[in-house]
Amino acid sequence: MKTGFARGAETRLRIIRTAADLFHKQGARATSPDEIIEASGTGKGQFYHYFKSKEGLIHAVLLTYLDEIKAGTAPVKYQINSWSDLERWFLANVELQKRYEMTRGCPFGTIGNEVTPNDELLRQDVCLIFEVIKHKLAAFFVKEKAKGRLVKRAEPDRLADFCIATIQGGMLVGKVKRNSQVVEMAAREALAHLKSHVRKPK
Amino acid sequence: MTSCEVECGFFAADTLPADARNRAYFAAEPPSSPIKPRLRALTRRPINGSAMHKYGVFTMAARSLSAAQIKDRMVRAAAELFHRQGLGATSPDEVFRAAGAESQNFYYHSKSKQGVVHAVLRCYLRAIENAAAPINYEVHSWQDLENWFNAQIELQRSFTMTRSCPFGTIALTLVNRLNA
Repeated sequence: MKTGFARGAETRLRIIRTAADLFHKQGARATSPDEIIEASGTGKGQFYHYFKSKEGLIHAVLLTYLDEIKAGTAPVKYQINSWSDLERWFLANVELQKRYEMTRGCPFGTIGNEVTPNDELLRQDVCLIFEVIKHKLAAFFVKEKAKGRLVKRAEPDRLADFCIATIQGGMLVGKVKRNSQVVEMAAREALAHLKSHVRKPK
Repeated sequence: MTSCEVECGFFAADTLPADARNRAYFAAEPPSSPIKPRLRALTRRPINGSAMHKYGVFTMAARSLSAAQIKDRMVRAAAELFHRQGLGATSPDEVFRAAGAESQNFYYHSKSKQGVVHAVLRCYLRAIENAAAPINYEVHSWQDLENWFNAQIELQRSFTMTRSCPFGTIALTLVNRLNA
C-alpha cells in the first residue's frame, strides 16, 4: 500500500508529463487546463491543488525539463566530451523530432516562442534552460581550447550560442517543412564551421 | 482598398516610406489626424476591452468602410497580435476589437480563425515577393547577406527583443494544430 504522499507525487508527475506532451504538440497557449485534466485522468481539484494556475503548471513543466537536463536523463545527451558527442547532440535533437514525424519543434523552443512580455517568470525559466545547455556545450569548447586544440580566435561562449541558434532555427524549419533533411544539413554545415576552429597540426 | 498590406510589427510604421501610405490605410479618417501614433500606442497596450472600445481608432469610422477595407484592417490587427503574443493566445474577439470591427464581421469576412491566419501569411508572402517587407530578401552580395542577417535582428530590436520572427511565431503553433 502506497502512502498518500507517494500517490500525490505520482499524480503531480502524471499531470506534468501529460501537460508537457500537450504543450509540445500544440503549444502552451492552445492547451486548456480542462484538456490536461481530461488527458491525465485527474480531477479538477487535484489539478488546482498541485498547480495554482496554468502558469504554475508551465513553470513546473519547464523545471522538470531543467532537472532532466541537469541529471542527464533527458532524451538528448548534453554531456559533450568529444566532437562525435557534439555531432550526436545535434542528431539527437533531430531524432526527437523524427519520433513525432517532424510535426513538433523543440519542446522548450515551442514554449519559449509563446512567451509575451507579461510572462516574465516563464521567460526566465526558458532562458535558464538555454543557459544550462549553453554552459554544457561551452564546457566542451573550453576544455578543447585549454588543451590547445582550438585556434586562438575561438570563443567557447560564442560557439555554444551558435550551436543552440542553429539547432533551434533548424528544428523550426524542419517542422514547417516536415522534413528532417533540412535540420541534418544545417547540423552538418554547423559542424563544418565549428571544426574550422580546430588547430591544424604543423 | 483591395491591396493587403499589413500594418503590424513586421511592417512597422518607421519602415514605411511616406505619409501617403498611412493615409491610404485610413482613408475614412481625415488625413491630418495623428492616427498612426495613436494606433501604435493602442496596440502596444495590454488589451482591455473597454479601453479599446472607448478609444478605438476604427470604431467610429468602421461603418463607412467597404468590406475589403474592413477585412484589410482585420488582417493587419491579427498580424500584429499574432506576432506579439502568438496564435494560441489571440482570440477572434481580440482581433476584431483591435480592428474596431463589429463582432459578426470576423466570421463574415474570414469564416474562421484559420482563415485569418491564412490571410495574414499570404500578406507576408506578398510583401516578401514585392520587396515591401522591412527585410530585404534580394541578396546580390556578401554585404546584402550581412544586411539580411542584421535586418532580422533590427526587427527584433524594434520590439526591445520581446518578439521573434513573425512567421516562426505563427508556424510554431499553427503547424501542430493543422495536424491535430
